[in-house]
Amino acid sequence: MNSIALQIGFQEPVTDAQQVFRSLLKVMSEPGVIESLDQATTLETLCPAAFSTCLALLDSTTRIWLAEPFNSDAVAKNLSFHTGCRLTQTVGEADFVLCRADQLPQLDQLKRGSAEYPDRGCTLLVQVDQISDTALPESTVLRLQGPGIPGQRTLAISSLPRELIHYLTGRPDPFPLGLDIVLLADNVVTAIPRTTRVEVN
Amino acid sequence: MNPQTIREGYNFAYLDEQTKRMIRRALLKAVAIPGYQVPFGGREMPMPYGWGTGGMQVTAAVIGENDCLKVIDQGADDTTNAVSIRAFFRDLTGVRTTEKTEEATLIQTRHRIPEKPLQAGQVLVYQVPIPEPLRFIEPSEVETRKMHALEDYGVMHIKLYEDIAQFGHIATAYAYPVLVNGRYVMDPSPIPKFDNPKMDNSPALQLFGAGREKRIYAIPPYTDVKSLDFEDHPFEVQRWEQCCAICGSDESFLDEVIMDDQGAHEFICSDTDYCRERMANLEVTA
Repeated sequence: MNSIALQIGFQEPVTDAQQVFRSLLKVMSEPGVIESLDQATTLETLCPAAFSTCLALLDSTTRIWLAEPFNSDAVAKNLSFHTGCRLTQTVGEADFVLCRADQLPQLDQLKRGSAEYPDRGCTLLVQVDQISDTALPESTVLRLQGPGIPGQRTLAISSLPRELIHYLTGRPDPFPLGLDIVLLADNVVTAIPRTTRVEVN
Repeated sequence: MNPQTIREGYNFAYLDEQTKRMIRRALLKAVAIPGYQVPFGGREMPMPYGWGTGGMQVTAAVIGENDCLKVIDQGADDTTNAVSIRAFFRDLTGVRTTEKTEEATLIQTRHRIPEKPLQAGQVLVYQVPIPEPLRFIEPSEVETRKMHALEDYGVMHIKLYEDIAQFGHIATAYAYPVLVNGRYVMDPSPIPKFDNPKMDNSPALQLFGAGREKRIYAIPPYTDVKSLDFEDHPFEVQRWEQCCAICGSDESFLDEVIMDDQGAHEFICSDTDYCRERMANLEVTA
């Protein structure tokens, strides 16, 4: 039986959680803005931004679904230890879905909430390779418009899967339903909430 | 920041971390669905409902060591509610506080938006008594939820129309309903309608907390906020024939102050910081 190494989470749990939240609040209210997020370290395959986000938002009242390769023992045990979050095998009941861009779950199975309670939809945390405000090689350049954006904002994401691009440009769920997507790469974060209109350059 | 300045035996900003996370998750959903009221598990605060417990819980979840906090009550920095809440957070967070609008990163407000335009990066937290704009028309929460889901807002226009039928103009002067991002009708909290235009496309983030009703809602920066009106009765803000008796401003929101028992009265700026700064500038130029 291999023992799983527990890693240090936040160095300063109160301060770090607050700072991570402020970055998340900033990017969720101003879609496409890129904030740095490095309060926690790398956890196996999980980048610092993704681990920080998990530590700041998860607890025993939230259910998370982990996609390959994040559903490893090391990630699951560390997240459980630090946050007490509940892991679920059913993607449709998860409050948070954590996946890599190349391992997206079936997006139409994720929890959407209801017209009366659209806030009960799932938050999709997607780890990507790179996020930038200027075009990168092999990246998809998105033009964003909507609340939180004066005029329009440009966002480049590397190797964004076709499925997610279709979701963002097609917006199959009628507002106020929809997925709020947090994009995490290395030690930076950005977000595309359900209100953002997305075009591909 | 000196952690010794925090009162012993309390967590940073009073609330426990679990509660802050719950409020933070609600806030993230609130900014993702502008104008929609997110239910949250409101906690007891060490003060009665009606004194800003909702705003305080939002502030406690948002505030960090690097923030500079301003608290206003009806525009004033020096009234009981503002002084108490400012002292509360100074005691329990040790953050810098200020009365200057432009210095603050976080402003908690009861029923006013500062006169000085807010800047990008600032966060304005409103204290909200009744978050549901449809509540006085429809007492059932189940029904108002359905009305929001179906965008069934006809009754709101009827309420405004009844004003016109009775008084000849829209007489609603505060808590004037707005449409956020073209979708949700929202109660802007009991700010005077004079302040409504400041909400539209503001560069600052606006967060609303209702403690008794346990609702949080938000307007992200640069979001359309339109006051409801009619083509032939467009939205208008209050105007005064008087100007401020202290600083002489004819642009700010004025409070009427009774001076004696003979009926004498004066009008003064409700925003004390704005008024004081104007006075300071007048003294410099004089």
